[in-house]
Amino acid sequence: MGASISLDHISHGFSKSSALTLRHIDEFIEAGELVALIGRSGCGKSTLLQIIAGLIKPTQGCTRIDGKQVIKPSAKWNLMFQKASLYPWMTVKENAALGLNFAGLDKKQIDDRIDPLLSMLGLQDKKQQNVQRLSGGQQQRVALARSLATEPEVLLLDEPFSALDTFTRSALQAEVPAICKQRGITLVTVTHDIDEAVAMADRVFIMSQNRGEIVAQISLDLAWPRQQSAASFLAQRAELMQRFADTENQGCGQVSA
Amino acid sequence: MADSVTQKSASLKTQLPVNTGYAMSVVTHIKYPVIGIALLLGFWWLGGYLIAQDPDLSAFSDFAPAATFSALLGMIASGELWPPIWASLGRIIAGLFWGIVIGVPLGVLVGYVKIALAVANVPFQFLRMISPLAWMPIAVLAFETWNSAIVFLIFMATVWPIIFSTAHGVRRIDPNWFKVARNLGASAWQMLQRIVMPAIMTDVLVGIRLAVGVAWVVLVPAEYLGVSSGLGYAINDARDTLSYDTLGAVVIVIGVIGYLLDLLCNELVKRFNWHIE
Repeated sequence: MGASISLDHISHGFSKSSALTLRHIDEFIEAGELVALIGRSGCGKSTLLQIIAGLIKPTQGCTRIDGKQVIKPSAKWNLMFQKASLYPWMTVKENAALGLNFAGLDKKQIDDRIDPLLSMLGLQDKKQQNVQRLSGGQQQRVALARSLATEPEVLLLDEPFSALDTFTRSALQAEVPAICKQRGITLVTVTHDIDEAVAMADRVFIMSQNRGEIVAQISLDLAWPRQQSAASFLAQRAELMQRFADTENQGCGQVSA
Repeated sequence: MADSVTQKSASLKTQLPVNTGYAMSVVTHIKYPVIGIALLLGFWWLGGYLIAQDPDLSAFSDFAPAATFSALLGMIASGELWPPIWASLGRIIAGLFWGIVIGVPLGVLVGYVKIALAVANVPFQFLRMISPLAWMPIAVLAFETWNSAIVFLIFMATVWPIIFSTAHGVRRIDPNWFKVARNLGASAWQMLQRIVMPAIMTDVLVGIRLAVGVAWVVLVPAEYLGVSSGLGYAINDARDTLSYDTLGAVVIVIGVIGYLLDLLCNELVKRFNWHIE
């Protein structure tokens, strides 16, 4: 099952002299909720994701997962990067099973968990292949298998599909939320793609371009699975675009009409 | 019967191009090395011939190919060849062992910790430029036996390429590999064992390959001093006894073993190289 995420008064600056990258972020994400974090490049959304993952310690405030303060990374709140970052000396299965190896599971336990996962992601016939021989989409699926193998309560995605072709991206935008819904995993996706946000989230947070704040949020009232060509999807997309444009105008000192 | 003959004939027809193709491939691969070796032997024979023609140099005529190979066969047959080889290889292995044990962790340290690199760079570059043989007087004072002193010289020859190559490998590691492993719950030991070591293995082995080359070159002059075993000593002894055919045979053995050691290291580099072209 998923876990709730509480972002408590988080502010962060990379050095004492530099301006804050993130300011006063206070949000609560329900267990099993799917959230997208959108904003322009450099607005601090990836930093926030790494803070949630425990890879960066915030200057102020903290993250709590199911009420417990995050003080270090854990396989229970798993971050997937834009680049698959697979280990090129390993096979597909070895990469997918790495977290389980670290946890000290034996071969049978690993097989029992990894084989169904690879089948689900269409990688069963490639499990003994070196990952360098896979396409970008297949590599990202291996990274997803690696993240899911540890049965995380929270899955954090940092623009994971942005380097993929349209067809693969579209397929994964449908598959990942479906897996999270099925397993009750809480999902936080960072993206600058409005379509991706609408396709994958229950709720979207909009980050300001310069201030490092979450300036707006919108709940998406759409059924699962999402149909990207449906009128309701396009309407929500248009609404989100408008909200995003409004917040940007406000950020520049202009008041939206 | 006729069918059987036809089948055999067909079988031969299908096998012949395959075998011919394989033979052609072998010829293509060894053609140029064979030409190179033949040229080397040709120059050696010519040098031996010219020396034999000169009355002032004729005492060195046994250095020519025929006498040298005859001496080499004699040394192999009598078993005289093996003790110096084992002695030299033992020193190389011992020196290399310490070079790896000390060089790899130091390489990881200066590759991973920026401040360690900043501190160590100048002293390491300075020490690296000193010929290992220049350490001989200090080594003789510092160690009880000549053998240990030579192992120390080999260590001084091997440690620098290993440190620098390892550090280079560590600096090339994708930072995301660390983040992902930490995120998957890797302990420090698991990080080293499962991520860092496989990632840098090719660079470590390239460093070892360079180190073996330098060590083998340093070994022979190092064995001129003090010890009464090894290939360097055998060369010195052959010179003192004017046995130029034996001297030539030992030179060949040194070249062949050096070549084989390099080949072995290269195979290891290929075996652990995870880059797919």
